[in-house]
Amino acid sequence: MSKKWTTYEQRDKNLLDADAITEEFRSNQSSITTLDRTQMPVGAVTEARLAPGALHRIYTTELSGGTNAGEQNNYRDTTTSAWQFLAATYQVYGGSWQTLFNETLTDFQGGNLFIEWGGSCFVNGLCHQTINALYPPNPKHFNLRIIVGGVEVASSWGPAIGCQSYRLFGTHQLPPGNHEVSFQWRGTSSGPDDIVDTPGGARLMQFHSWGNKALAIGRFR
Amino acid sequence: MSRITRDRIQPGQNLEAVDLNDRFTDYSQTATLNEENTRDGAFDTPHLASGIITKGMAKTFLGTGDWTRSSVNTVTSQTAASTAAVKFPVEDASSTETRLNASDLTWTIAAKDVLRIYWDLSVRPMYTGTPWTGSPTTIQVDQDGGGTVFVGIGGHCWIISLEWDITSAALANFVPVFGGTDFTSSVGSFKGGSLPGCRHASVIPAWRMSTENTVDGKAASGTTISTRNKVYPTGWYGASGSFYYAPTTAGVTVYGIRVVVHGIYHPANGSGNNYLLVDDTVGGANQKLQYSAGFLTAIWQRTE
Repeated sequence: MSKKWTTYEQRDKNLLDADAITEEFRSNQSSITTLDRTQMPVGAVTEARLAPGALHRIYTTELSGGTNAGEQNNYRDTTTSAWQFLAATYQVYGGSWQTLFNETLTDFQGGNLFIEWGGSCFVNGLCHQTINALYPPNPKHFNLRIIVGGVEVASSWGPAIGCQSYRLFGTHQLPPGNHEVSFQWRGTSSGPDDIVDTPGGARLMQFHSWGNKALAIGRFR
Repeated sequence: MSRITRDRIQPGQNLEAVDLNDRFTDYSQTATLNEENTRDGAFDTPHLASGIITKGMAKTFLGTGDWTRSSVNTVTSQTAASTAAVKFPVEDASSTETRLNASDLTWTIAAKDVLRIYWDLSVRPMYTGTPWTGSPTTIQVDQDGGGTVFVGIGGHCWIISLEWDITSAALANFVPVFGGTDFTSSVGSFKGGSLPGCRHASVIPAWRMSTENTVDGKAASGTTISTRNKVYPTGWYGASGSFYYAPTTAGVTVYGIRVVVHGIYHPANGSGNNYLLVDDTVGGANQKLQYSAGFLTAIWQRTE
């Protein structure tokens, strides 16, 4: 920033007095303390000068279901056999929405929210269509949805067969404040013919989820 | 220049050139403006320097780059002779790894930074015969009309996971990205990785398995496992994955990122933990994964 004399321009051989300096000082001080956008240089706001959270905030988390990081922990039936996950079985799970993880978006300054959620799941697809569930059939899906402040911002019918990965994302406009986010799943309910256990009593895994992670970006104002 | 605190010139005070120069120096300071010098609404879009939020972005092709699939690469599954997970880096048609190199990256991810990684790849799991019939993963269920039979449960999958090199630009030390398993855990006589270590890994169904004529919780009678299970190829499949690394203290310098393919795995559990274990009983040259094209993207940003 350069500055020029505005009150008294001092010339060579001038006789100086104190007021000449002081008045110039006051003039400059006034303009310096009230800089507006026309006086600010282009590109003046650098990374160092930008206050944290002024423009945006990125929320990342290694989502955790208790002690099993990133893994579905709502239903963990321990009576499945060796070559299965400890997972949701139809003996313990009926097909309701379950909150996999909660996360709070703190210090949201108001503006646009982008949120995404990725992970992997298993869906037992053995009994999509059976003798007594033929018209219509009963295809199994690992339904997914993201709820922000009680509002659904993204949803997916979800994977249908075996082990697959998923990613869903959405956007939402939010006022300033802390916002609660819920990542929820729901497996399709059992049909009338579904195979749910073995002759020895071991239960068949139906749904499981792991490797979950989420990221949210708040772009403020 | 938030404030100038130099004493004012008093009436009657002797003035010298240095008094004037000092004041010009005060007003000519650079890079020291702060919030006390600006009014409300002083900053607008042009005042924002570039790169203050997104510090870096890199993108590269994965695979052969041929979206028509006339040129594909093939990975074969592991067998009992495999000592641990055998990972195949995704390569182009000339067997050169397609990855992000040090010239793309060399990013030091600091506290309050985030590294976002996204990839996609067109893949095609393939098999010959009914390899699942000999697998220990089959389960015994009741059969309609009496007795029991075995069926497959359909959990076999390929894995595509992310690796990075955080040691040097030579890219000779790729390892799973932060927190990721390298799929060398032992559960009984099998190798694999625990599910809490699988945030960096995506799964692709090796085949699509269902059943036919199941009734009242029992499998249809009078057929063998190979016909009772209705199984179809997965076909060409759009695989994808993502990963986030956001250290809370000083992080690592990332020189390279790549994608590796390995399989075939199956769900399992042991000692209260869940795993994806290599099912080498279904492995062999006839079980393979083809891939053609995709992208690998990395974004480096400040989190606030």
